[in-house]
Amino acid sequence: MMYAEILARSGILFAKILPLVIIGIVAGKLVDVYVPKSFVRKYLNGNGSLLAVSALAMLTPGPFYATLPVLDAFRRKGASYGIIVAYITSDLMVGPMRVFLETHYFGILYTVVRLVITYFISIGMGLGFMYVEKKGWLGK
Amino acid sequence: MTRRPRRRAMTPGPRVAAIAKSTLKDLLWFCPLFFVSIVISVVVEIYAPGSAITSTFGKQLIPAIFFATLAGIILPFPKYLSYPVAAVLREKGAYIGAVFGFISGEVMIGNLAEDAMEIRYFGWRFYTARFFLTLILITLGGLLLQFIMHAFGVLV
Repeated sequence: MMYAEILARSGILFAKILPLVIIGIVAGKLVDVYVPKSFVRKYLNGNGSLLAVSALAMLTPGPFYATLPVLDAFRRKGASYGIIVAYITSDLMVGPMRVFLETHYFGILYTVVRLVITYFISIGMGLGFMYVEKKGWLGK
Repeated sequence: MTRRPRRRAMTPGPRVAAIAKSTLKDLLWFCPLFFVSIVISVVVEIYAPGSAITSTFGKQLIPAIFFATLAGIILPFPKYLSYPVAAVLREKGAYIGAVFGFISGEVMIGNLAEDAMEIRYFGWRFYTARFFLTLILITLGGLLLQFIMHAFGVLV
């Protein structure tokens, strides 16, 4: 009974997420083929990019499953780990549904303060990763 | 007069074929791993005791935020389900900073399927570094939020 329930729930979840993953992988392959390395190296490295990416990622939709293959493609094109992790942080921590739920449960002031703090956490994560990357702790 | 070498551009046909082939190859390694991860997360979700998380997050500020963040990271909540749980914690006297830590921890790390995918793409070192940096920065963020809310006169 329990095994059947686990398998059924897993199957439903898998079927729900798989299309998003396929979209993400295809989008990653498109980045691989069409986005030039020079563009990525110029615009997805450095502190200026970190500030912009941390803010932009708050506005972009898309589930994590679909985002990862695209970020991986950008990484292989030369984007720094700091930029990647700043994007992940902002993207995961901010979303329209989250803002709505937070305002509902904890009020508008909490939501606004939380968004501002999230922005600085993303920048902090990015700077931390730029540091560990420079030290060579993340490997190749 | 020298002839400029002709640039061999990839036409759309082979490009599409290359993208399709590469996508299929990625899906072949990804699907079995992903399905196993989902089964594990569902098993944990069914068997994990829900009452264990309603312990005190409102006595000592720094440990409360730290452990709330850790709980958010470790406990397997389905998406958005942490909000009602966090609201219950808040009602029972948890710090608002601990609530922030709990929700942020759940959002940042804590889904086995996503973790497996992240490790596959960026490696163990990336994942481990993200785990510890998340724990530190969200705890600090929770503290900051606590002080700001206090300064605005919100009951904390």
